[in-house]
Formats: sequence, structure tokens, C-alpha cells
Amino acid sequence: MKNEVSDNIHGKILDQELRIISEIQASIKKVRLIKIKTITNSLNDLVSKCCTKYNNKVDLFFEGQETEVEDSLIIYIHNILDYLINDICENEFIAFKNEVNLIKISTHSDGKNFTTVIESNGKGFDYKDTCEKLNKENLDLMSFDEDEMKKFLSTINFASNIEKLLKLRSDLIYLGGNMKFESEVNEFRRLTIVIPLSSSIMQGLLVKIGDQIFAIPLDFIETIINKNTVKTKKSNKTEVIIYMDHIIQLVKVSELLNIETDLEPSCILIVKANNKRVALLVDSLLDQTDMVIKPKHSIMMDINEIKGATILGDGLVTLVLDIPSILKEI
Amino acid sequence: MQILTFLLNDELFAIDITLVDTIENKMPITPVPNCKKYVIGLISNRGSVIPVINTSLILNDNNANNIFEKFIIINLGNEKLALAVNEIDDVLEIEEKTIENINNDEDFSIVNVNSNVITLLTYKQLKKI
Amino acid sequence: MIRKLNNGDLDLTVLEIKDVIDTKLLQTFQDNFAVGMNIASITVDKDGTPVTKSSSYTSFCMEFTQSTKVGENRCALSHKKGGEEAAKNLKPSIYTCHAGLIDFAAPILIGDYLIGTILGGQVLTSEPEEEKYRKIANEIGVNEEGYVDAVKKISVTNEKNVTAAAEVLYIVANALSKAGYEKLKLSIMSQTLSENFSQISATMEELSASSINVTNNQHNLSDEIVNVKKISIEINTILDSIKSIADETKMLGLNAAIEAARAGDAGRGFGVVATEIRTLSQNSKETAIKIMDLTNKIQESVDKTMDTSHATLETTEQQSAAIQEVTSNLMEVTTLADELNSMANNNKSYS
Repeated sequence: MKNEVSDNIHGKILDQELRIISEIQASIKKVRLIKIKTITNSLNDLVSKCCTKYNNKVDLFFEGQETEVEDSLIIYIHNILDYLINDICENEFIAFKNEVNLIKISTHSDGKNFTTVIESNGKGFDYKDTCEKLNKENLDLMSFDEDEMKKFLSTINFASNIEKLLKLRSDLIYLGGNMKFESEVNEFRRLTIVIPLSSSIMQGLLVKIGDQIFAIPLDFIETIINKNTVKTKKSNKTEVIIYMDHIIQLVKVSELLNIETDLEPSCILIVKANNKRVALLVDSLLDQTDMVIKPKHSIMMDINEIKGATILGDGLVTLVLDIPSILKEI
Repeated sequence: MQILTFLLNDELFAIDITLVDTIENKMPITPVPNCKKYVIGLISNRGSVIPVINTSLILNDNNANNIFEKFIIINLGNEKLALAVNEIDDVLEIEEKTIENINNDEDFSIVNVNSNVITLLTYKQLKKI
Repeated sequence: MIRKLNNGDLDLTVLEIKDVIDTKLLQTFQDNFAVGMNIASITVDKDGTPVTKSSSYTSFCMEFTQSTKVGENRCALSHKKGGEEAAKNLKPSIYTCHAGLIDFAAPILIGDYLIGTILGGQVLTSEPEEEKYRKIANEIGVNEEGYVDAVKKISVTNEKNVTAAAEVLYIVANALSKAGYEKLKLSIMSQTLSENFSQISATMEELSASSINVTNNQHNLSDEIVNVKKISIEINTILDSIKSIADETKMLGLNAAIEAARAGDAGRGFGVVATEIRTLSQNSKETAIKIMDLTNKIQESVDKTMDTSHATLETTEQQSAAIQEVTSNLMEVTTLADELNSMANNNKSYS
């Protein structure tokens, strides 16, 4: 990824410093990280207890025990798994259905998100049927409201105390995570939980659109060019640019965000996500910054263009654009 | 129970104090594009990013004057909201039984304190935001 | 004696002939008149004490009648009576003395006040009777023969002459006394005037000095007022900060109450503290507002005072200028009065 902002030596030194700081931060993070396997024993004990309690025989299988996670998160995860295992042991396994009752827990982390999947080969539920009953296309639980969630749980005959599950969902909403069920009747039930790691520090580019400032994660930016240096063409209602033998769609971000701007924007950022490329037109470039992206508030859930917000050094809230979502929209 | 009373367009409102996180002086608000019209924007408070609500619009008062001096930061479940108000009045102790509901509408409660009729904002009302 | 009454007039009750008539002049006139008219005369003051030397006194009177005590007393009595008569009528009186001579008394008056009398006469209107005079000689104790001889030497004239002589003396003496009196009055008036003007001049200078003082004080006052105004503006600035601090304190108190409520029972004590803080901030705010009202009132009153003092300043400056003018005018007048005074004095000595 080229970055025209750090062309001069000053910029290079700044970059260097930022990189060093990030490395230090990463090392610090490592010290606080705990491996999942520290809780596996406890979970095994739990399964044993459940077996006794519910007169069952269940095998617990772990995948990704080496996954590292922050100590604050590990307790939380432990509690969730505790609760889910209990539910599965109590309700999912019908007598004599399976040869081996299996619960598989797999965890992995990609530095930004911690994903845990808990799968059981119990009774499951009819996915399609449930969708119909709820009048939904899919079971994207994060976009349900509370009543719909409750209805879903009653539809699948979720027997345990639903409060904990509801809290988990609302926590995930707050953190900007994800939770989804997949299932086939009498085959399996899989719950995938994605928890964003709160100390993900990203690099971003600050751009100006109108009189507002937005941040774009650097990961998505391929190139930055000046509009005057490229040829543009208009076809139908869409405008395209020709850059390095590519025809790329040009999008005015101010129109996307319904922001009034007097100036004629001249700065183009060529972004790429999910194998799609778009040229975003903004007023000007401001600065490169390190940012901690705070997840979206539920009130902004349907604003797809925004991924979250970050607080800059001057204390002002700056919105972070969700490039993959934007690209999907266009 | 204790309630926090505040002024909105010269009218007194109140909110259960257990819902309140803190009260703050007004601060710069970052507008959010394409957001709901009663969301004024976002503020940062103690490291969190909190949406600011135009409380006048929520209470169906269409001649809202847009000079908000204070924010009431409330806890709704796991999330916080900032209610923009004109002025904070006081913390009062009231008897729960003095709370009345108009037309048995659970969303609209009033309480009478020193011959001031104060509209009490309920959790339900706020959750709808 | 020259004595002034409270109203500035001369005290006529103590005024004497020598105050208003030059005695030397009177004497000269008296002598010449006596010789010319062949009639004796003398001027006395209101007590009867002579102020001039006798003119053309007969030897009959001088050497004989007045040589003895008895005779002297009789003369004095006669003269007194004559004088009283004249004084009573405010015009000359002609009478016969104890020795049978024709005498006159002409009063010298200032207004209605008698200041002296011109006495005279010592003439006969008919031939004397020897027998009468021998008798008188024996009574008063003088030589008969000599007395009779002396009486024969006395001029015989008719009463008309005596009356005319008395009238002339009366008129002249009174004219002289009147003129003298007027001059005296003038002299005294111009002196008074001079004194008054000097006093006024001195007073004006004092006034001028004090009005300059007032002007200076006014300037100082104006400066002080400006100072007060500056201070009250400063106070208002401080009050603004107190008000905003009170506001912040209130916020703090409310947040504390919120925390206390969250802490439940454990927070009750804290809640009380929070209430106190809120009350405190409210009191501070109210106090600050009250003080602000007061300083606003002070500023208003200061503004009014400034207006008044500016007006006063103008007035006193005008006054000062006016006083200066009056003083210089007065000096002119004083000079005139002095001249007048010296003129009046010169006249007196001249006449």
C-alpha cells in the first residue's frame, strides 16, 4: 500500500515511530494475554457435573486451545461457555439418540476478533422453518430487536433461562461483535460468537468531507491520487476514472453521507475490500492517525456506512467509515 | 425513590436517578450522517462514545429551541445515551405512590411535587430510543 | 465727639461745635462781626462752656458785673435762661439780662439738636437809670460810681438792630454748622465705603480661593468616582466567575447525588453531603446575583454622581471666573472711594 502522506523524511520518521509504538503495544498486549486452555479443565469438570445431573454421557472436544485472549475477556468467555454447555447438556441431548454426545468448542483469534464456536450434535432446530415463522430471511440475530429475539428463542424451544443469552447478545451489540445460530434438525446446532478485541489499534487516514472529518482504516486504502491527474468518464449516472489501465467507479462520499459541501472535492482514495475496488472522492486529506475504533451504538445500527467511532487526540469524536459495507452498497 | 428533575422548554421533567450515570456540561457534538433525526450527534465522555438525543423531539415537542446547556448521561442496559436538556434542576425524593399514569398509559407518567406537575420519563419510553 | 450710631449715622447727642465748625474761623468771624455791629458775642457749647474767646465784651460786664461771685452767678443764670429759651424755640431769643442789658442767644442746631449757642448783646435800648445801677452795684458788691460810669459807656441802640444782629449770627453760625456737619457726614460715609469695599475685596479673595479649592476637590472627586466605577466593574467580573463556579458546583453536587443513589444505603451519607453542596452552590449563586444587583445600583448612582459633579464642576468654574471679575471691579471702586475720602478730608481742612 502506497501512502503519499509520508513521502517526505518527516513523514517517514513519524511512520517509524508509530510502528515502534505499535510493536511495543503489541508486546504489552502479549503479556496480558491468556491461553484458552487455562479454562478447559474447568469446563471439563462442568461437563462431568452435568452428566451426573442430567444422567447423560457427553464428550467435550476442544479446538484451538492455544488461542490467546485478554484476561478480562477470559472470565467472560468462561461464563458464556459454562452457561451454553449447561443448556446443551440439559436440553439438546435426547436419550439414546446419539452414540456419542459431542460438544465441540473451537476458538481462534485474528488479532482483531476472537471467535468461538460451540457445536453440539443434539436435536437442533429447523432453520428454514424458524425463519419463516419469524418472517425473516435469515437468523442474523444482531439485527433483531429484543422482542424478535425472544420470539426466536421460544420458536426454537430454547428451554434455559433466556436472560443470559439476551445479555450476551446485547453485550455483543455494544462491542460490535456477532452471534449466529446454524442448525439442522437432529443433526447439529452451532452457535458462533465473534467478540471484537477492544484493544485493537488501527491505523487510519483522516479525510475532510464538507466541514466534517472522517477516518478510513488504512488497510483498505490502495492509493491516493489527485482527481486532476486522472481521466474521468461519465456513463449513465455513474462516473468512472481510468487509472493504471483500470476502470474504477468514482463515488462522491459527500453524496453517500448526505453532507453539504461547497468545495469541489479533489482527493481520490482508491479502496479495495472483498475483491472490489472503488475510487472514493473526498475534499482533502488531513493526517494519518492511530485509532481505537469504538463499536457502533445500537442507535446507529442501520447506518451501514459507519463502522464505529474513534476519539482523536483533541477529544473530538471522529466517525470511522465502514469500507466493506460502503462497497457493498455501491 | 429519588428523581433528577430538569428543564426542557421551560417545562419540568424528571427521570429515575438510578437510570442516570452522570450529568455534564454541554460539549462539542460530532454529527452523524444519515442518522435518525432525533440524534444530534456523538460525544466522547470518559472514553466512551455516546449518542446525544434531542430530548425535545423525543417528547413530541415540535417547537424545540435548540439551545441545550447540559447532558444527562443515562444507562440503558449496556449502552449509554446522552439526553440534551436546557437546564438541570435538582434531585428530589418522592413517594412511588404519588406517580400517576395518564390514561393508564405506562409510557406517560406524571408526579406532583410542591404543586409542580412533572412529567416522569420511564425506562420504557427511553428504551424505545 | 464724633460717634457713629449702628445705622451708620452720627450720634447727634454727643456731637459738639468743634466737630462741625472750625473754631478759628468762627472766632475770626465773631470778632469782626462784634466790632462791625458794635455788639458783644461769644460762642458756648451746649453745656454753656465757651468755645470761643469773647468778642467786644464791655468793661461793664467784664470788669464789674462778672468780677464778683454774685455777679458771675447772676450772669450765668441769665445766659442759661436765655439759652434755654432759644433752644426751646430753635431760634434766637432776645432778652434783658439781670443787669438790664439787652442780650440775645442764638442756638446752633444740627437738625433739632442743640450743639451750642452764640450769646451776645450787652447793649441798651434806652438811657440807663442811675439809681437802678447803684442798687445792682451794691447787690453784686462793686463800686457804685465805677459801675455807673461804665454803664454810661454802653452803646444805646434800638431793638431792631439787636434782633438783626442776633439773626445774622444765628444764620451764619447755623450755616457753618450745617456745612460742617454735611462734610463730616460725607467724610465718615466715604470712610465707611472704603472700609466696606476693602472688606468685600478681602471676602471676594477668600471666596475665590475657596472656589478654586472646590474646583480642585471636584477634580479629585471625579477621579475617585471613576475609580469606584472601575472597581465595581471588576467586582462584576469576579461575580461572573463566582456564578459559573456556583454552576459547576451544582453540577458536581448533582453528580454526587446520582452516585450516592447508585450506592444505595452506603451512599446515604454521601447523598447528604451532595445536598449540602447543591444548597451551597445555590446560595453562592443567589449571593452573587444580589451582589451584582448592588454593584449595578452602585454603578447607576455613581453615574448620576458623575453627572452631578460634572455639572458642579462647570458651575464652580463659572463662579471662579465671575468672582475674579467682581474682585477686579471692586478694586476699581475701592480706588474711587479712597479718592473720594481723601477729597472729603481735603475739603474739611480746606474750609
